[in-house]
Amino acid sequence: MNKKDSCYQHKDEYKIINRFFRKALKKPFLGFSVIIIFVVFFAAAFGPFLAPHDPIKTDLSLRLASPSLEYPLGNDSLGRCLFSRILCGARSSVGLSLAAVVISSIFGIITGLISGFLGGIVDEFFMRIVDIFLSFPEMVAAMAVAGILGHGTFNLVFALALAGWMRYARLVRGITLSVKEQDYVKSAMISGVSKRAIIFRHIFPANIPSVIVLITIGLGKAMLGVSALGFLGFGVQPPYPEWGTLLMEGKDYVLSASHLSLYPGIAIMLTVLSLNLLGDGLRDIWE
Amino acid sequence: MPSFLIKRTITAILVLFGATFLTYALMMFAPGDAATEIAVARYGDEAGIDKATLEWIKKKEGLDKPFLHQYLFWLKHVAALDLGKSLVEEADVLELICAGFSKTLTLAVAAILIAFLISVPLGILAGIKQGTWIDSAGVTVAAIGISMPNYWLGLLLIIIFSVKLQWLPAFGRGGWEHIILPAITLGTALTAYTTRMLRSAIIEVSGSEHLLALRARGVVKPCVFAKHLLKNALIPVVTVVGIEFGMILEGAVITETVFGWPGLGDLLVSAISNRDYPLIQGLVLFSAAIFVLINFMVDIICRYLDPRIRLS
Amino acid sequence: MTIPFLSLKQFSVKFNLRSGSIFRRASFYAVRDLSINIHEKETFCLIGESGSGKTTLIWAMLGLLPFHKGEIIFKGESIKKRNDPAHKRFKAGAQMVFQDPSASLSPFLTLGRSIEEPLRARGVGKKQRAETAKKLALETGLSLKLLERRPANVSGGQNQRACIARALSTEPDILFLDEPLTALDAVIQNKITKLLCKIKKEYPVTSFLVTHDLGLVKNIGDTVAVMYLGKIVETAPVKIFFSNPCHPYSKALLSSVLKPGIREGKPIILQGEIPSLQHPPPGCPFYTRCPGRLSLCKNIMPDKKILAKGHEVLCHLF
Repeated sequence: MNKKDSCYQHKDEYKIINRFFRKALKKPFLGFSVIIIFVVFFAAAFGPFLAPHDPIKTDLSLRLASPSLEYPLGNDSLGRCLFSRILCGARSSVGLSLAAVVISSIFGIITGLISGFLGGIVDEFFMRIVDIFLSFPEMVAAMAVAGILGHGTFNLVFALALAGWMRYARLVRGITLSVKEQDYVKSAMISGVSKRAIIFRHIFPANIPSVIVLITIGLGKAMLGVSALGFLGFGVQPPYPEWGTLLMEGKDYVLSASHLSLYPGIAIMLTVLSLNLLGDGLRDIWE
Repeated sequence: MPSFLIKRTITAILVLFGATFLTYALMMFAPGDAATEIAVARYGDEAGIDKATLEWIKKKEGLDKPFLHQYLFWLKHVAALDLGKSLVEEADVLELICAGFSKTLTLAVAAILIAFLISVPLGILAGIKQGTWIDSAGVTVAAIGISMPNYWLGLLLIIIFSVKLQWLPAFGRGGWEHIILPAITLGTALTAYTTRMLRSAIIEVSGSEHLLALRARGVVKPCVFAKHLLKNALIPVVTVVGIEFGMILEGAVITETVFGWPGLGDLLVSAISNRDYPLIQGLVLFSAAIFVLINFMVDIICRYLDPRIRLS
Repeated sequence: MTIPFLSLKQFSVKFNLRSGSIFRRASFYAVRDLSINIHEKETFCLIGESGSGKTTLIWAMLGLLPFHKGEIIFKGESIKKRNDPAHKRFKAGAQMVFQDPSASLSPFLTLGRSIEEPLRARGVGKKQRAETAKKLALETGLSLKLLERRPANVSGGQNQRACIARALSTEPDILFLDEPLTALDAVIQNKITKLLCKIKKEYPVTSFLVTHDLGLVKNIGDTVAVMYLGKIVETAPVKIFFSNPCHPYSKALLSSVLKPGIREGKPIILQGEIPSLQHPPPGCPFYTRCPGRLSLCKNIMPDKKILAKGHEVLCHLF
C-alpha cells in the first residue's frame, strides 16, 4: 500500500479524536476534570521528586502547626509536612486503585466475553456466580476480606478487586449478547473464522467504549474504597502516606488541627469528582 | 406471573446458598491456624497455650474435618438460626446482630427520610427544567455528593457543627439530636444518587411517545400530565429504593465508625480488629441475606408495576 | 440422471416459544419436511412471503440454527447432525451474502480487511490475500481507494459489492444469497443485479438465492422454488415458471408483481387469513387463501406431483 493509501486510513482515527476535543471544549467541566486527573496522575508518578519536604521526616517542634509559608498545608501530629504527604500519598491512593480496577476489569471482561459468547449452560453458570458475588454489599465484602487477610497493600487490592469485578462481567456479557446477533458476526462464523478470532476482532472492540466509561467511574469508586479502607486502618501502613490513612491520622485532632482532616479529603473528592465527570462526559459522547 | 414467582424464588434461594458457601470460604483466607486464633481470642496469651488445648479446640469446633464437612456442619447451624458465639463478647452472634441491626435501621430510616426530602423535589425539578441552570446546578451538586468520601463528610460536619458552632453532639447515642449528623452523612450519597436517577427517569419518561401523544391531543392541564409522568417514573423509583437499602448498608459501615454509632457497621469493624471470626461471618451472611431479600422484593414489585411484563 | 450437488430431504427446523408454562414448552415448525435438489453450477431461487421460513432455512443449513429432522446431502455425503464433520466440510465450502450490507460488514475493519477475512481464516498469507482482495474488488466494481475505508463511510451499494467480493474470495462450492437487493435503493438494485449477472457468467458457482424480487430471479435464476408457510409448493425451471405457473399461489405471486415484463393479465387478489405457524392446518397450507380450493384440500396434505422434468407441484388440483 503506498503512502497515499495509508494517510487515508489515518483520517478515520483523526476524525474521532477531533470530534472528542471539540465536544470537550464545549463543556468546560470536562476539560477541568481532565486537567485535574492529569495533575493527580502526574503527582502519583513524580510526587516524591516534587515534594518540598520529606513526607516521612518527623519534627516534633512543628507538631500540629497550622499552614504557613514554608509548610503550605501545615503539619501533622508528628510534625510532618502535610502537603508533601498528600503529594506522595497520591502514589499509593492512585496506584492501589488502579491496580484494583485493572485486576477486576480484566477478570470481569474475560468472564463476560466467554459467558456472553458461549451462551447456554456456561452463561447460566457464570451469571449465577456473578449473582452470588453481587449479593454482598461491596464495602462490607471488601472490608471483611481485607480485614481477614490482614494488613497489606496486596490484600487491599485483592479485596477490592474481588468485590468489584461483577460490574464489568455483567456489562460485557450484555453487550456481547447483542453483538453476537449481528450479521457480521454470523458472516464471520460462516466464513470459518475461529471463535477466538471472532471474540478478539469483532466482539471485544464493540465493548471498548462502554468498558472505558465503566473503568473511569470504577477508578473513582476504587479510590473511595481504598481510602475508606485506609481510614479504617487496613491498607498502607504508617509511616507511608495514603490519603485515607492521612484522614485517619487527622480525625483524632479534629478540635485542635482541623486542617489535617480537611485537605486530604479535598484531594480525594476532587479526584473522584473529576473521574465521575469524565466518565459521564465519555458516556454522553459515545452512547 | 406465578411461574415467574417460582423461578425467581428458586434463583434467590440458590444465590443465598452460594452466598453462604462464599461466606464460609472466607475463613480460608484467614492467616494462621484457626484453632490458635480461637485460643488467642478466648484466652489471650499465645505463648501460654499448650498443644492439648489446641487439640481440644480443634475437636470441639470440628476443625479437624475436611472443608466440606465443616461447611455443611456450619450450614446446619445457620439453618437453625444459630450463628455461633462471638469469640470475644460472650454473647450469641445472632443477638449481637439483632441488637446492632435495630440501631442501624434507625439510622437508615433517618437517612432515607432526609434523602427523599431533598432528592425528590430536586430530582423532579431538575428533570422538568432540563437544560436550564437549575438542572446544571442540581447535576453538579449531585456529582459532588457522590464523589465525596462519606467519612470525610462526617468529619467535616463534626468540625462545623460540633466543634466550631457547638450546635450538635458528635458521638454516641442519646436524644434525637445525636442522629442528625450521622443521618445527614449517610444520606448525602443517597440524595445525590436518587436525584440523578429521578432526573434521568423524568427526562426519559417526558420524552416518551405516549406522553407526546397526550400533549398532541390537548391534555395540557399540569396535574393530569404530572400524574401520567409520575406513574411511569415510579418503576425506576422503586428500583432506586431497593438499591438505596443496599447503599445504606455500605455507607453505614463507615459512618457508624466516625460517629461512634453502635450499629452493625461499628460491630463489623470491631469484629475485624478483634479477629472475631464467627461474628464476621454472621455479619457478612446477614447483610448478604438482606441484600438478596431486598433485590427479590424489588424485582417482584417492578414486575407487578410494569404491565408490559405482567401481561406477557 | 445426475446426482444433485446439494439436496435436502425431509428437512425441518423447530422453534421453541418462551411463553409456554414451565413444564410444557410450546414449539412450532418454521420449516416442515422440506425436500429440494440442487444441481452443480445451478442458480436455485427460493421465493416466498416474509415469514415463510426462507431465512430460517438458510441459517439452519449453515449451522447457525439447529435442525430437527431430515438430512442434508452434499456431494454425496449425508449430514444428519449439526456441526458433525460432514457439516463442517459443507460449511467450509459455503459462503453467504447477507441482506443488509452495512450490518454484515464489521464496523471495526476496513473493506479490504473484511474481504480478506475468510482467506485469513483459512491461513492464506498476507501478500496473496491482498492480491486476491484487489482482484476481486476490481471485478465487483469497487475502486481500490475504497478498500481502505470503513463500512460506515461507504454507500450501501459499495458495501454489497464488498460482501459479494468477500463471498467469492474463497472460491466457494456453493454461494448463499439472502435477499441481496432488499436493503438497497432502486438504482443500486439495478447495478447489483447487473453485477450478479456478470459474476454468474465469469465465476459460475452453485448458488442458493433467497429473494422476493422476481426481476432478479428472471435475470440470474435457473430453477425456482416457491415456499409457503414452511413448505415448498412449486418447483420449476425459470422459463417455465414465468410462462406457465401451476400452483395457485405462484399464479397469484406473479400477477401481483409491478415490474414490466413479468405480469400478464389481471392481478389476482387473495382473500383470507394466513394460518399461524404454531397451529398449522392439517391439509394444504394455502387452503385458507386459495381461489381454487377443494373441500379435500382442507384436511389432506397434497402429495408432490411431477408435471414435467424439473417441474413439481404440491397441490390437489393436478
